[in-house]
Amino acid sequence: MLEAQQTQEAALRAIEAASEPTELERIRVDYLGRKGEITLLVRSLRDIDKSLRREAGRSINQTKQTVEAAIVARKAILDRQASDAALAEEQCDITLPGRARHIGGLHPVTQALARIEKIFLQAGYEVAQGPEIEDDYHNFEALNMPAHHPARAMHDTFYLEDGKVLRTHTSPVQVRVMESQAPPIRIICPGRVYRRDLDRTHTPMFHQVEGLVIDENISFADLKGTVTEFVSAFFEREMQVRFRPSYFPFTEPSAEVDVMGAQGWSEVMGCGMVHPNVLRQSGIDPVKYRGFAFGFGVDRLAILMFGMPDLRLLFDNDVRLLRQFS
Amino acid sequence: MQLGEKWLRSWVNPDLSIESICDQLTNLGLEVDDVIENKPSFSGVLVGEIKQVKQHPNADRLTICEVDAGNGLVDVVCGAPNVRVGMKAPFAPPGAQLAGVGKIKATKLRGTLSNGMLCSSDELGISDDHSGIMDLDDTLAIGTQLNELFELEDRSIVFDLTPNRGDCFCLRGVARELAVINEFDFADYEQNTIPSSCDSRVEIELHDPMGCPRYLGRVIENVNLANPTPPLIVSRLTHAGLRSINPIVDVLNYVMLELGQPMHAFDLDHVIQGIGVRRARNGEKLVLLDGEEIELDEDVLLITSADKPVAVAGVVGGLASGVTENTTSVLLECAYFSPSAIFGTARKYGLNTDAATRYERGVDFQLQHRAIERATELLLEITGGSAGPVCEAEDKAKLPSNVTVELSKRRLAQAIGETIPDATVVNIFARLGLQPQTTADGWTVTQPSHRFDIAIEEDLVEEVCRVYGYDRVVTRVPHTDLELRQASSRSGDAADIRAALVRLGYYEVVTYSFIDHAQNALYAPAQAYPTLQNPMSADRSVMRGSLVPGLLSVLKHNVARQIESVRVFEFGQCFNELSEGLNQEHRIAGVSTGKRYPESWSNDDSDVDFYDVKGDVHQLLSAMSARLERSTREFLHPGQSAEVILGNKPVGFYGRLHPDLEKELDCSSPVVLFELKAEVLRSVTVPQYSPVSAYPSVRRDLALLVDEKLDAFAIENVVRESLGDLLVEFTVFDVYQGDGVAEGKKSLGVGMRLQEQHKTLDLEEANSHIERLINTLGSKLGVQLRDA
Repeated sequence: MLEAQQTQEAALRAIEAASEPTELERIRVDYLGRKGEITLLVRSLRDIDKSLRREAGRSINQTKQTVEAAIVARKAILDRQASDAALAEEQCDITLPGRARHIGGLHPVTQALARIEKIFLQAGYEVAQGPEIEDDYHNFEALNMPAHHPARAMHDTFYLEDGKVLRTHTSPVQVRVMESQAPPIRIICPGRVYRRDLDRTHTPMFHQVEGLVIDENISFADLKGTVTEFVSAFFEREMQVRFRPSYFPFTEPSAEVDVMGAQGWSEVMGCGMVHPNVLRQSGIDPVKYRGFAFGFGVDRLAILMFGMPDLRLLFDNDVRLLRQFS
Repeated sequence: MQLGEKWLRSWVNPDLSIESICDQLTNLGLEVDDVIENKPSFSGVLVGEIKQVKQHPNADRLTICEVDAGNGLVDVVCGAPNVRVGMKAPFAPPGAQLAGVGKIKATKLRGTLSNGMLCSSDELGISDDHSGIMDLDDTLAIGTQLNELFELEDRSIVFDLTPNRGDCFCLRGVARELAVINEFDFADYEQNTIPSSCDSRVEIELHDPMGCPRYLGRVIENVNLANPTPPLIVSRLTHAGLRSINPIVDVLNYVMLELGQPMHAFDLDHVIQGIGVRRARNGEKLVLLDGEEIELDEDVLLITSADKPVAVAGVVGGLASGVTENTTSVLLECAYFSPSAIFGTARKYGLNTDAATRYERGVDFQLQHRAIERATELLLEITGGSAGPVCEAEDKAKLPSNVTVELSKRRLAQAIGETIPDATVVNIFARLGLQPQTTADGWTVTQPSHRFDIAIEEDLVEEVCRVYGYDRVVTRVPHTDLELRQASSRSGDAADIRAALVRLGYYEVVTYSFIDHAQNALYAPAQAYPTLQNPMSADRSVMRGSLVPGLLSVLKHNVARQIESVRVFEFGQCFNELSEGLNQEHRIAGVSTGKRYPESWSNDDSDVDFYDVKGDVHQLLSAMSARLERSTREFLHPGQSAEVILGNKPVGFYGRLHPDLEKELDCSSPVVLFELKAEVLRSVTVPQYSPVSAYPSVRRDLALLVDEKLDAFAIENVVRESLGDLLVEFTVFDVYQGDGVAEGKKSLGVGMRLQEQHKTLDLEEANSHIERLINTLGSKLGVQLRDA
């Protein structure tokens, strides 16, 4: 059937040329609608001789299917083109900054403290806290520093008008734990402490962590190991550590711990074996139990950790500084 | 304390560098803080001998000395009165340098060429003596470089000593330690008795033998204070940080540095009636050596003469009885004062003298005789004169005794964590002078009089460890049972609160806990605060009753540095005195000012306001149902501030700072702050499941026209009451005043989501609930629908 063939070719040309979905729809109606050319061809079959009808029918049907398929295919292309165009319209500047929100951060001392607590909590220590305004007994006397002890001069103590003190160390927390808890004891006591001193390496308020371990078989060797491992754990690398004899009324033997840094040895903590008077005073049998204690300034570790030159910067609270550590 | 290296080596001289010696001492517990180089102020000065003295032809007061300093005879013009033939004296040839003079040149003086200069010890910077040319020891070789003599060139070792090692506040103590660690034999200081050459004595009475159980006195008559202190002694004093004053003071200081025994000298005329040692009477007064008068009390141990105060025992002497240039006879004092009698006195009067430092820590209680003999010996050599007998008052029973201390091998091994060989332990004890005796299970040692700090077993453990080497002792970690702890459902701990605020864009700050009294009065009024007796400064004299002042000072600091948006918080203790006693509680507070969002193309540039901080606070409070009341705190904006009530307890506040205060802070945008008791944020409950409805919900929005003074919360209450369990969500999505809304009114857009738990909510039913709600709002609160 020549007519069908011609119709198909014309339809395919028109479809190919269609550039809009509406145009395509119009073409569909023109050919396949109720009065469309192909529809009319189908209808015209009735008038064809019976012997030829079968052949003509197949031909027209094929034309119809071909045109229908071409319309679907063209429609997909046009749809795709339309959506591509729409997406291209929506292109944004990917280099503009994202929608900003204020961000905050923890103080360097808190960060150092969190790191310290984590190290000890993992090892089975508990965290104990206590008051910052202490009585003389817990800050001094229970720690083997009676009223006229020369070691009191080592602590530049702030006294309150009622004779209480701002704690000069967190050792009184240890005393409170020993008073209320039977050994074995494994605690660290973090907190603010106060000494009347201000220069590049001292501020009148600073943060301390003290640790206390009391059990039946605790020795100086255990103290050395714990302190050495802590220093390396904190700085995340093997550190050269030096122990040298020192003096604290509440420990015997006592030691000062130095760590090797860029500028040579620097003092990071004091420690020792808990003095039997201290154990006895808090109701622990010094024959059965022994313990070690250590204490260090968190602020000093924090400035070492963050490479800060001056302790006083920690209390400057300049937002531009704090931002660096968030 | 500091000491010259050469002086130390004159006692114990290991073949080690100064660095190694300092390391050894530090590792023994005598921390070396610093090593200071000392150099004389001159160079090129030689020992010369005056071979001939001639009168200068043109000047009565000048002489021409022929000086041999190893390079032939040269003529030197000199104005000093004490030149004589055969005298050895410092000679500065041309080319030598003197601090005050400069480079020496050959110069004509009154027509005669002077080939250099003979020097006084003042010109050499050795002492203040400018009375004449320095008279050197005859035995010195001609031509010797003067700076090599008298330890003029030396290093000072600066110690930071611990209070338990009173024995090491002197050369004898440091040298002993150095001998111990290097296994040298240490010969303790022995002193010959200096026989008396006159009969002068004074009576001594001990009225407080606990405070002073031993007092030695010795008269030295006819001393000549014009004689200079020998340069070696001056050098040693200087390198120990002490200035040369006069021969008596110098000798006493020298003996103190050498042996550790502080001493004092009185002008004999002022104590001729005898010496008494007693406690002061309240109100008694004494004018000290520096001219200051102090008022004494019963805690002060006093030296008296004829019952009148002449010195504060062990601390400082009185002015009236002190040695002056006119003194001809002195009384030397050499006493043992117990540390407890001295401690506190120096601090109380701010008199941290060298004597007090030593007596507070304790002085060797068997040293006094040796020290007074040593001082007598040196003094007679320098000043001449004759010494009386040693007068002694002593209460033996009150003197300390050499206690014995036992140590068992088992305890030693347990305490250290390893077994140190017996021979090593015995050797350490022996070298320390502890006279160890072996017992069935360990050792007994006898405390030597200079090591009164050794009193218990643990002290001996430390001695063993310290000499053996802290670094040599084995290292390990404690072995413990790995018991498991209960899990904790606690939330709202410090770490949680801090993390929440960081997420909300706040930086954590740390401020001092002591603040200005006025700040407390303003920000935490009507309470009493712990107040410091000895604050760093007046504006840090009370303990903070609130975190707010600290935060505002941080704000001010940052705003002054052109930082526009500041959000900071602090977590810390606050203090106040309540009727039931001191209250110390942890609080959390924050302050926010500036832009709500960081400046950006995408953000609006509005300022932070009340509702931003309210949002932050309620995030902290999370599920807790807080009640609000209008705040009456005077530092807050009266219309934009709220008190937070949990249960019936006020737990804090939030709100805008009063605009007057904002102005003081130089803040151009609102400052909004909050403070809460940290304790209330703690929770120990695990959230429990409640079912979520599977049925569709219905959303209804209403635009309500209400009185502008009506709080949204009043409407929410009516809504919740009216809709009951059906209401699953309530929001205020719009607040509007302006066009289309009458004066005095505001429009609130409220949204409600209604839902049944077990069936689909019937729309008719929902509508009738809403109708009823509208009626209730109208009747209870006079609310109208805006559209109606």
